[in-house]
Amino acid sequence: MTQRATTPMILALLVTTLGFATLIFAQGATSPPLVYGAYYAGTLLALYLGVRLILPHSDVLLLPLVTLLTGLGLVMIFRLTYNVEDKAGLAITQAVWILIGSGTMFLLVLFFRNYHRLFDYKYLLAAVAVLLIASTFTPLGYEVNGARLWVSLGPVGFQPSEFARIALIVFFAGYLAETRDLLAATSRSFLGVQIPALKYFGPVALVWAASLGLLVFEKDLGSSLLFFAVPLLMLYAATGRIAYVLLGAVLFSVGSLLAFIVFDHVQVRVQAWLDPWQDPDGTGFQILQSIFNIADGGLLGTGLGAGFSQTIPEVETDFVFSAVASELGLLGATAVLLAFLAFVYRGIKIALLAEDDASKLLAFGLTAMFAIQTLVIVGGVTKAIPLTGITLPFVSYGGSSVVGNFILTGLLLLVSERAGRREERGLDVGGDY
Amino acid sequence: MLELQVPLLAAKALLLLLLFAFIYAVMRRGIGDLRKVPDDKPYVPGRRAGMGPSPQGNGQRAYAPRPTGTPEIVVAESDILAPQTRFELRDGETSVGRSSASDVVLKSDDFASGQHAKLTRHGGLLYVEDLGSTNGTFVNDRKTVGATPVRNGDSVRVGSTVFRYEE
Repeated sequence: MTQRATTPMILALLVTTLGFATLIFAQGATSPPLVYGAYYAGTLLALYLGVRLILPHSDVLLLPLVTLLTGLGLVMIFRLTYNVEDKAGLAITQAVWILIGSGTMFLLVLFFRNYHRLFDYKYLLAAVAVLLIASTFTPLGYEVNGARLWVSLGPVGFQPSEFARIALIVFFAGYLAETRDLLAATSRSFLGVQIPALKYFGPVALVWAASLGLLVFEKDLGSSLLFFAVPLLMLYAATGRIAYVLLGAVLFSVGSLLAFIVFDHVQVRVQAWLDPWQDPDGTGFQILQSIFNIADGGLLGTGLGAGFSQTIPEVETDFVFSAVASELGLLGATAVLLAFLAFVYRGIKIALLAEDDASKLLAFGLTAMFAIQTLVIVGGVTKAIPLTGITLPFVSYGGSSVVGNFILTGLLLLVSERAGRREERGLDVGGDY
Repeated sequence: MLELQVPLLAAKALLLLLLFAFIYAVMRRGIGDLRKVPDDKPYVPGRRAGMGPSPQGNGQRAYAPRPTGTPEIVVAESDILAPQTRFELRDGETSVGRSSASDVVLKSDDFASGQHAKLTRHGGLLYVEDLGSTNGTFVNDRKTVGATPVRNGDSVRVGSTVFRYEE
């Protein structure tokens, strides 16, 4: 039986419509060509119906959540840029990226229903991921705001690490599913911590170190954090050994300390986090503006278009959450966080119901990345942790990020389709095969 | 100014209302779904587990007993021990037999040998090994040959006593 979640889908589109209507009628913003709005709503509705048709047993709530987050993101991007000279077309660009992301996801769902083939190419995918990250060091790569994360491909620039992430998670899922028993049953121990055999742990460590090392040199702190934490969590999920987490915590402390000593930009970030008032017009400016705006929002927010969040530099990408908190208030920001929570909950549920180890680890890895990314940026803009530049999934402006997250959602849908079909056949969940 | 404030306020309230209506709709679906997930199916002996030994990982078998954190063997049925008696298993070896020097003493069980079996817990995994007993040691009603891995929920029979392994 095909499940439907048409009500959340319609509500999500209504939120987007009302957001744009508020901006256009109440704030007198110049309307973007309405045809883009129609395209956006049409694409996501078509995507939702298409996925229900092709993958009738897949998770039903992921796409309504994606619709809400991208829709709210579009509203916020439009609100933040419609009256800014050189950014006026940004909402339309974002809408185009959402179309591309939806298209990519649809093709993925259509042609990769047997996603297990991906695991056969895991070493290739790992190599591709490392090469993608390394590609920013070629002449095609260029720097934006001090971090060398971009590669220009003709007219468009893209961030390879957004895609490398997903390839790496596929690699780790495929590899750990094969070797988890060997990694869990270790014989040697050092200082009370059990050390796995190098033969089995080697490839994991190598890929992990290579991707992480490259990112550190690119000065991409946010992605480094993700690339560090996600494989570690997957390792823990695969083996159930707390020793890996402890080892990771030690490595993280040593790594952070080294980064703090060696890199100036890390010191600046930590300084701005500890005491932004030391340099309120310079390094602390962004974070201070962000906190002012969140405070300005109060419980109910200033209302769309009535806030002052344009004072935050880079507000439409990294700081979009501050703008949401400012204009929709604590309640609106809570709703957004709940939507992220629901997405993560669905992801973990897919992992629990998935039929084999590799699928479970894939779903878990993708969900963990999504969750940590949200945590890192929301924690960063609220000054709970040092700020690292990373996008808020689906909401922030950013082509690579949007397309990457659509691919992530597509993979989760594919895993959930198999689990759902098995469940319907009445087999034990996680049982006989 | 007031004409402009009223529609703005209404739009704001409506937007928040819609946002939470969405969250409500999603959560309702999600929770209805949770009820369907069978998480505590009774264990049926003799079935091979789908997942490897993963006490805390995300790969729990849905029908395995809920992990309690401490690995134990629990008396399921016995002529000589009270049912539900629990023996905690530490890392390393645990001996089972009629001899009073055993860690788990099966006193006056005519079907158990003096030194009947040895349970070895190492690296999160439990193995059972028969020590040349007269009547043999059984895991899930199958006689063991050499060291045999025991998974969460498996039964181990020594003499007249059936233990269930829980971690």
